[in-house]
Amino acid sequence: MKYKYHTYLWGLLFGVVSSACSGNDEPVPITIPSIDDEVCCTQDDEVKIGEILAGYKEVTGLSRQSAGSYTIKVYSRKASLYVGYNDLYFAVEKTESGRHVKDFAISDLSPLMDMGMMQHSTPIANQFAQIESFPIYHTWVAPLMAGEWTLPFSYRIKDESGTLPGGPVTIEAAPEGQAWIKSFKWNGATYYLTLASPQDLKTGVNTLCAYISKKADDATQPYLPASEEFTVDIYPTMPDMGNHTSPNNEPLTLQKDGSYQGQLNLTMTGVWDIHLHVKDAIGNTVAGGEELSELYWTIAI
Amino acid sequence: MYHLFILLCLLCPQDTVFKETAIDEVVVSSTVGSGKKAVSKGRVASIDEHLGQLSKVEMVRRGSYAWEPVVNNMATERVSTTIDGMKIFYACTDKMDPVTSYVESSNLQRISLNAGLDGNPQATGNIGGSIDLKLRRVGFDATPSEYNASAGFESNGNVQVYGADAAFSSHRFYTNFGLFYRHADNYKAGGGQQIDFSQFQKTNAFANIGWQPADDHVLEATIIYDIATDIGYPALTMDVKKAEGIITSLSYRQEHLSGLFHRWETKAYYNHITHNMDDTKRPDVVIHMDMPGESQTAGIYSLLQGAKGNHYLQLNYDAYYNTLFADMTMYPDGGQPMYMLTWPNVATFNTGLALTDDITLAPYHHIRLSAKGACQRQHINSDEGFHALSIYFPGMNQGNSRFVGRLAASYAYERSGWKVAFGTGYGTRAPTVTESYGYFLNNTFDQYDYIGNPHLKNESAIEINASAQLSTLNSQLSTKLEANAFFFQNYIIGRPDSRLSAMTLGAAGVKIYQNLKYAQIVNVSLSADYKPFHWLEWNNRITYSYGRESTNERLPLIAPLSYLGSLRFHWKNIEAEGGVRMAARNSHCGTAYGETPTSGYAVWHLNIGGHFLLGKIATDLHFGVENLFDRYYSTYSDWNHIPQKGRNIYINASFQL
Repeated sequence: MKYKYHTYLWGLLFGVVSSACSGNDEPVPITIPSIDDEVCCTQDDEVKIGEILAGYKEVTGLSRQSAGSYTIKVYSRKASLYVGYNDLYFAVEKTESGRHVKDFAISDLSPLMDMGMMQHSTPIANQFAQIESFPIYHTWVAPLMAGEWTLPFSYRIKDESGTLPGGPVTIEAAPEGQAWIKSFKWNGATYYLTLASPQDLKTGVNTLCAYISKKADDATQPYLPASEEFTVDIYPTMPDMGNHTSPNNEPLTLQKDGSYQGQLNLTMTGVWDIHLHVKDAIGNTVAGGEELSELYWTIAI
Repeated sequence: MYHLFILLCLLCPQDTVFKETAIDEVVVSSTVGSGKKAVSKGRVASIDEHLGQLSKVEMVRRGSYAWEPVVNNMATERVSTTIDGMKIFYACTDKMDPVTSYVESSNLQRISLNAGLDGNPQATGNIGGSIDLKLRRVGFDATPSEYNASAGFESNGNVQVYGADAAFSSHRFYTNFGLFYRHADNYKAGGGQQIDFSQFQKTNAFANIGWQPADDHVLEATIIYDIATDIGYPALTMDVKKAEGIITSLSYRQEHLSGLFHRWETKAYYNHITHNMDDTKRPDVVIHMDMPGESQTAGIYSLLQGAKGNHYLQLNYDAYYNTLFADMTMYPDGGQPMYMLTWPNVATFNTGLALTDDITLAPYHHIRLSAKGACQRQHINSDEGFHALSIYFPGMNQGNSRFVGRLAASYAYERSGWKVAFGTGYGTRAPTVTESYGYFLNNTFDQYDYIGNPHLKNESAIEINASAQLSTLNSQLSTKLEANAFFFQNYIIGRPDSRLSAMTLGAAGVKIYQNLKYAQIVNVSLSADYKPFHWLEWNNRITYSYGRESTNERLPLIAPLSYLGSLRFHWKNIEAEGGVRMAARNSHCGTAYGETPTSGYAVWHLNIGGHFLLGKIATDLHFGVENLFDRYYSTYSDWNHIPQKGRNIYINASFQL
């Protein structure tokens, strides 16, 4: 209903503008579609895309890179990224008109931190997922530490391809006292436990989403989700309340999309430690332990 | 007979005509020597002291202020309290503010108690009984102008009470209004130990207005504003910064109607309570917290009263809408505040129809029938609170609907010195907001955090009661044996759930409200009043109570064996009394519910009061000593065994012009 209304408005606006230009007595000119209309979204879609992206900010240093006559925009929850999980939304605009481009793809996101002596990458998603049927692609990145990173990536827009340097991007530390990414070692490899969307957790029953990534043999290559299957028991506690905990939490288990999901119950707002007990496919302890394990995320809601 | 009814109704317009054995009253605004049941401290006595005079009432005391009335050994959850038929609900999750704390003695004419299931028409959930606080309205055609002033002082705790009010009345118009102030410092227990955090102060203002635009058409309005500040609760871990109540009503009444019903009153009302706890003055606070609560109630009732043949009928429709909101913010040192809703903004809509019929079968035989049915709908208005509770009750609904009702029948026979009465009733009550939706309410009585249970069933009870009174020796000796028993099904009480983690630091665990299969409460009392001379009266009463539930444990807060005795002297307009209150050790207390025994005690008191004229000014003077021998003691209903006041000398005076 809402979108129909917008269509009428646009139509009305168009009518007013065209009649103002043409005068009352002259015939209405036939509009010939420009090249924009072929590659770009309809006005209806533009409205919807605007609504989807309205809740996000362009990432400073990463967004607004030029690719020919196009501009690639990258959005996240805030203009700066945090240590730990960050959503990234990629969209491409025709620079001249600012209209969104339908046909594009992003790939090979390769975050890198150059510490002089050494370089390393960090956990990322293994896919770019389209948001509904709109030309917006979602992925995530979980920088391991604060500082300057580059997030280069490849693109294809219609028939043009290329690579962009992506940065430098300043990664901020997680809000004071919070920790959204943790690591453990198993069978000689390093794994990372990334808590997804920690800012979305609320009082009540939450679906907890996380990723387990494996450090690549070449540390400069992105750390992709581990191919091994784990189960992670969770035990949330409030350190300020004598380790008060909640009942009916459910362990994180592997989902078809490669994420791990479980149920996290938070009885009130405040600081929570989510203690983790990682087990392999047959239930042997891999890392952490029962109840107050030393392996835990810290969140504040 | 019909005219007699009308006359009686006019004389006591709010009251039930028949004084059944179940109905008890204390007259708040009485004068010395009026022969009515009243308190030795007279008009300056607190509501709590007045309530304590009712024979089936005990008071749970968490400090000097805002005691919780317990009727037939049942507390707030099973007792209905109304103010002139108006519903009002307390706003503190820790029961620091029973609704009786939002009125003052000066607001009231009398306090009426219907014990058991035979409640006043507006009462719901009254298994234990229903208390109705009758407001003091001067009425039409009373003394054209009247001025009252009173002052009181008590030595223990430096209690000061000051009150003044005025009343004006004509055939078409009346008004009475007044102001009351009460202040107390910390009191001393027997032996001289000061009880810290037992202070309070309270101010109360009220006004009633009546207008009769035409004969038999009456419009009445009431407003009460009550504010108590800096209230200490020595039995609890927190105090109260402010407890504020605004009570308003507007009613329209028609008198002398023809037909079955001769009187019709409709009243709309609104009351609003805010309550703010305070822990900033406590020395040993682990974690500072703010705990405000708010209760709002709007309602209406419409009462028809009539008589036909030997029937006296009351038909009442009532509806109310209440919201209860309470939250808690905790501030850990240097950490992020923690927030939860303890009452998740629960809205209750309740509407019911009540009918009572008093039947005079023959001059000596009376039957009283009463019934009420009510529909109740509740909804959690706070999504955050609902989501939090959903952790403990996955799949719970955000609202619920219930039907509750009660039926009671009693028979009374009175002839040649004998008064015999027996009655029975059946009733159900809906769980309270605390019992259904309370969230981590710490109970300092058993140190558990309580979580409400949205899946609770209604609690129901069958009541039987009987009494026999015999007057002998030319009415000089009157002996009365009275007993009632309540057989509950689905009795609601908190039970520990060891799987759950407590929230409050230092709490013993978590209790969830559960329906126990059954429980029983039995109360027996024997009283003997001997009046050998017209100037001497010797009153004695022994009471015994018993409470047990289906897991064979004793119920908590059941009164132990106790004895009340007094010798009263009357001489002209002077009354004097000496008496004793004794209780046995409550060794059969509810240990499974965290109760520990209190020792037995005997506490003596003396008082004298007089009513006389100083010129044109009618004066009442009272003087007395409580806890004469400065005994250190606490009763079973003193929360966490906080000691009662030590020796206390009081003096007060009230003047009427």
